[in-house]
Amino acid sequence: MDFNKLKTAANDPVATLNSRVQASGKPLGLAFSSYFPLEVLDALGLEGAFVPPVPKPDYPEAEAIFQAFVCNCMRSAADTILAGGLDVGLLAATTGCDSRLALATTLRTAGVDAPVAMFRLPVIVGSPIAIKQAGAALIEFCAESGTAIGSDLDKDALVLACREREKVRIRLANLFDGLGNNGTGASTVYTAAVAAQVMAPGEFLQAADGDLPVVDNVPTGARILLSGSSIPSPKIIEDLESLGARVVVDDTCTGTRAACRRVGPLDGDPLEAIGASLINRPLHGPTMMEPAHERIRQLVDTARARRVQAAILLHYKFCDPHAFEAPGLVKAFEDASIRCLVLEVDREPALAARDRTRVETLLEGIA
Amino acid sequence: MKRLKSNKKMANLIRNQVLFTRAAKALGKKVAWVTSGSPVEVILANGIIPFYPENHAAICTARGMAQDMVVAAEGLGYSRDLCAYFRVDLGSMETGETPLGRLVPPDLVLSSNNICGTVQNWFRVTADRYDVPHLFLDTPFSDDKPTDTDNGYVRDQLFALTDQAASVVGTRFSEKRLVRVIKRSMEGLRLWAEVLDTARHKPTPFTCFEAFVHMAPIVSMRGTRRVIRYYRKLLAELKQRQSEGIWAVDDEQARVVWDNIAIWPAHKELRKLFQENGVAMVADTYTGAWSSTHLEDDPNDPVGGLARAYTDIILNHGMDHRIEILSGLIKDFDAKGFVLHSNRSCKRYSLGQYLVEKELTRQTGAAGVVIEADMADPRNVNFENLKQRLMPFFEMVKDAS
Repeated sequence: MDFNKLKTAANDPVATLNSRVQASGKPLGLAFSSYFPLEVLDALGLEGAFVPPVPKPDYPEAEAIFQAFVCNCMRSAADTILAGGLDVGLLAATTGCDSRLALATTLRTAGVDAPVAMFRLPVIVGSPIAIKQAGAALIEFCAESGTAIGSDLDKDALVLACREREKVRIRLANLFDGLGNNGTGASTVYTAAVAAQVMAPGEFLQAADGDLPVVDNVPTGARILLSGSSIPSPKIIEDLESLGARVVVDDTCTGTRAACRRVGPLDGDPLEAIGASLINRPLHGPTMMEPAHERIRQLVDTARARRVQAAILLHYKFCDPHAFEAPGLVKAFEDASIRCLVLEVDREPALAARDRTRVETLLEGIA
Repeated sequence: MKRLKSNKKMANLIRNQVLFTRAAKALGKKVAWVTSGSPVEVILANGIIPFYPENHAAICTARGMAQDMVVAAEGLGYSRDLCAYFRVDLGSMETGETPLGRLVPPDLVLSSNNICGTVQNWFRVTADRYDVPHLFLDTPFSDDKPTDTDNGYVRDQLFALTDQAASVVGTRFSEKRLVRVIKRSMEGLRLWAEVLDTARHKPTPFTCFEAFVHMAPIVSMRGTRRVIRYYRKLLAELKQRQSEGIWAVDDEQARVVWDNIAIWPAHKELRKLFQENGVAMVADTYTGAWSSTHLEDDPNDPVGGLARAYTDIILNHGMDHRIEILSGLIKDFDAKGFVLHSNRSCKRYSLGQYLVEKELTRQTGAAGVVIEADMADPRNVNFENLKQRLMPFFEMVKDAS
């Protein structure tokens, strides 16, 4: 594995995106959510990627249009787009939480250079009506985007892109499944996941091929389940590891939730197959509509099976879906004798001092 | 301003609604807790009695009970950054406190994400708490108009919901009953729109401060005969006032438009401030949301009409659509300014308003102001700060009028 290459991409995602544009001559197709299938952007002739999280103290462009009570995922994304400097051909929004909707529609009203197209993903899990609608909504998205950028979706290219993106997800899923094995540092795995969001799939697969680098100081402490939306930076994972937390189960948008999606047979309409894969994802986040206790039971069962000792809920401030589920999740973990800690992150790329103390206290409690 | 006679009738109506749920329960009927944007016609057509937690939260806040309730909800681990209506209601469930005597627990809950993602989560929490079915309508968000695919998706879900609701009460869905309820909803919506339109008159007999209060029936009793009777009387009273020259603001010097939910913790103070400064708040995007609903009397496809109505809702559209609505209100009601309530409790309604302010002023020439507050959490509302923001704005709109 070429870990240095992954690390470079994760540390400077904007530079990585720019170098992709330079190398291919194609503009970027940027998606705001892990619920957006990047293979569609690839097949529209764009360099598909997720808008990377860029933790920093100030976001002047975003703060000019958004109030303080927007989560940093959206603030950072808005700032990255509005600051310019990226050759963006299309912004691909997905429905979901209220902040994500606001981001898409506000950027459109703000008159950003690139067209903003919205994929209206149904939110109901396990419903045949929603599965059918997901395919139909993707078809509408492609028609709208194709008109906006003057490029039709290439169905053959879509099949190829589907396969390549699936390889990326399988590679990531394997890395996350291996969390906690001797010699595997979680920060390495999360670095790969962040890099995969912005690297070209082929380049990522090449860099992520082979064994993970053996890290000398892999923690051997408490086994942790990490839950939350996006990981703002692998630095946070490094901080957790430096305190002795050993992440063995992931439940984040950056990690397993996105990586576990599998597209079924592509012999019919690939867009319908992709749509179905989004609704049928084995592990959803709380923006999707399924009974609260279903998701919670799934997480607690996994935690028990992987002998998790504590759960850390790493939540962005002002992230409503995660804040809503936190009390129920905490109770369920505690009922299963798994201690639980909610950490609220905002603009910091690393753990704040007070959060380090809280993690230390949690780990001492387990020891 | 002389108080409206209808105020008392409305208070009775609200009190009676809770009594209805109690009586219904005693008679073996089912009670559903529903969101304000839910297709309540489906519930009513199945003989289920609805109760509106959002409305309840507003009443608790207006009666000064919110603070203890939000604190109780936060004590359960819910973040202070979450919707205050949710925290008020959860706090009420937790403490058993309510200004309405005693609430009847739900047999089912019904929600839809057409007004925000919050209610999806809020009602999921409620359904889990009471261990009851959660009926949910997913309405695709669109920047502009819903597509035929979107409408078809919502229509398919509505058919499934009607069957689910019927199975809860053990009856079969009757399209005939649904059409009857839809017709009553339409009449209620039409009358409410007429009530709001009285504010077009200069000076106005009715402002948004009254509309925020008198919207309760159309939100929470839509589809019933009570609403129709009530709005007929209110309309008659307003027309009477108009003919007698009784105006909502004694010395109306300027007219403005409002965006977002009311600031309940400072409702009375703000009303007085506007009144004392001769500024009439004549139209808003919130109360108008229940008048522009496109409920259709489609004899061939009543469920399809419902689908279109509940998908095409102001909060289910993008920022450009909001600007268009506000711009229309400014023009139609001859307003010279607009107030954007940046409501910490409602991200769907509020995020992006800085841009709305700029764009709306550019398009209409009207002066705008963004005020930071909250619809229900009194800790996020500082009347003195609001006053400081509003006073210079009042001067501007009066100069422009």
